[in-house]
Amino acid sequence: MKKTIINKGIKRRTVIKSAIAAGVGLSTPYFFVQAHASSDPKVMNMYNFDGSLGEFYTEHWYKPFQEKFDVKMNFIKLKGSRVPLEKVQAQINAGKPETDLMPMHQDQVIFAERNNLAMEVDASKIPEFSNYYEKGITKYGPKMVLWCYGLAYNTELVKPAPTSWKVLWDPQYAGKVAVNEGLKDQCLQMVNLAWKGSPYPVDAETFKHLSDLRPSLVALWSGGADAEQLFRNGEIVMTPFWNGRVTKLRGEGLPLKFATPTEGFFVRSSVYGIPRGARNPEMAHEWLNWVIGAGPQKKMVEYGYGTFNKLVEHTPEEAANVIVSDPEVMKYAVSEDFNQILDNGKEWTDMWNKWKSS
Amino acid sequence: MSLNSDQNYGALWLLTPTVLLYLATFLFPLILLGVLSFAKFEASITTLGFYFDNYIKIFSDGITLKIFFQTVRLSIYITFWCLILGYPVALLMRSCSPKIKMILLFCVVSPLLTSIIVRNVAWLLILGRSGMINDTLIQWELISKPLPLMYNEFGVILAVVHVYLSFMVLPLFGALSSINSSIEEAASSLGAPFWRVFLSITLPLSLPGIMAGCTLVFILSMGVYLTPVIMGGNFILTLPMLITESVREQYDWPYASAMALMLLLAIGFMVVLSSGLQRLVSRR
Repeated sequence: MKKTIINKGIKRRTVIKSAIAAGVGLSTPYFFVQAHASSDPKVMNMYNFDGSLGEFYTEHWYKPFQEKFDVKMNFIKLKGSRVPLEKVQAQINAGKPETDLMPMHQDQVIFAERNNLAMEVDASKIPEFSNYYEKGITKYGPKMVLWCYGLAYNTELVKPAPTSWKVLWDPQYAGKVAVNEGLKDQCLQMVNLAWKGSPYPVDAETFKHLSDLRPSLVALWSGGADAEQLFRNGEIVMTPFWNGRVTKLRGEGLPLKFATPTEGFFVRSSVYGIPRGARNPEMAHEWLNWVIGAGPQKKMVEYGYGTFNKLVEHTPEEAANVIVSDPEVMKYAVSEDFNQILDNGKEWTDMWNKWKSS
Repeated sequence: MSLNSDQNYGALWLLTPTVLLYLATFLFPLILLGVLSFAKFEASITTLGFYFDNYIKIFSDGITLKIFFQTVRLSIYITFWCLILGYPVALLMRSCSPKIKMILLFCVVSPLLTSIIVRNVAWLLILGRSGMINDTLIQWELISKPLPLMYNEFGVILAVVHVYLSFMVLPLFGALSSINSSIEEAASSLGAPFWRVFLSITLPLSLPGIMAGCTLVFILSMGVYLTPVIMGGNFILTLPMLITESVREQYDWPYASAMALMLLLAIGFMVVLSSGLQRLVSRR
């Protein structure tokens, strides 16, 4: 009898109604949370890096800001050094970027500009710009975390100290070196600097030199943590690397040094921009103004990366670590063409993959 | 309306949340993937439309197809080694006591209980230049310089087989357990040697398990990503790596979508082939 009643009650229309009700029921908490988050001016969503740089951000750039301005910050951890702009693009197109700020590499800034992903910042809300070098200011936000791509080497096993990228091709280090797969454009430009004296063009000759290097390569590392692991495990004695990581590893007792080859090296920085449609652009401006100030920027210098803030003073050791504050060394810095990097990225990647699988 | 069809509606109602979930997380993204795969990506800008450029590129750029077949080859190797290593384990599990069976089962499943990063870092400590194996062999003076045990295809296959072995062993164990042991005992009592019993009875009757295990491992291997990145030192390129790279570095969703659909079709073809073979086997 009971079965009959139940079965009479469940008709096709009931099923459809139930489906709609279940859908609405399941999605309600999501929309409630979204609406609540967007309406709270004291909540800011941020990206944070993994590893030691992430710890630095938390300790020196996020926590003090939260305490000083009595705000809550939610963090989304990044894997590697790049914001997944492809994901951010999808979120912005859907009208809901997950964060209020995004650190962008310079090629990403061009991509963001072409696809209208970032808001122009209101300079009047960032008075600290007056203490910033002009070249560190863009319409999408300030450039921060100046880092260099040079040669990291083990001081006990690589003698004499290298002054040229060509040391990577030295047969005595065969099987003990690696190059980066992550940010491979830098690696390709490095090969060109070593053998052609200029970072461009990336062509068959570039890959011929890479092929010459291939028997010596232990790995093509993806992120800084991978390269760190290769040094720690004794797999490699030398690799092109970023200076901040080397400073950090040296601080932990690893016998590493960072060299700036005479053929040239690269200096990059990240632009901190506000995604179009960000929920809390006011707070984002507030953070930008605070973080480019002398205090937080000095902390970054202590960590090992450079700054555009004119007021930050460097000790001799800090100056040596950040590289960019030494005019003598900066003579060898080579500028990069980020439009070319972005526009040729696909072609370079195809050539790179062909080289890898050859 | 009959009682039976009413009961079917009752079952449908219970399925509603699952169907909704699948619609939202599988079917809808799949449709998006299909739409995007026909879009165009030029000068960092995606234009929706009906262009075949991405599919043409897959077959003409000289690299994507090569990497696709490289992925298939790697998956075949992994499946082969899982079968070779997994079959004896499943046989042993079938014949041993329940206690030993549990221990073996735990050993087989344990890699799945470990984080992929921890597992791969453990491999670095074992297979690395200064890892346990190389250090021991050098200390015993069996080799003069470290063997290249990782950052190559060997390292990738070893690490993936280690994890996917369980996906081979479990279906095999199920198939072997369902074999009526009195048939094998009868053959033995009639004088058939062990290898004859195995080749004529055990192996043919376990074919459904072999097919299921091979299909599972092959499909999983076609999508493997992180282990080749870590253990292959980025020298071993697979299609999922190419897809990720296309999205993450080039922001080229259309091309990545086309490659993803190609991968999906290949896996679908494998599933159809496998179920056809299974039907053939069960008919015999």
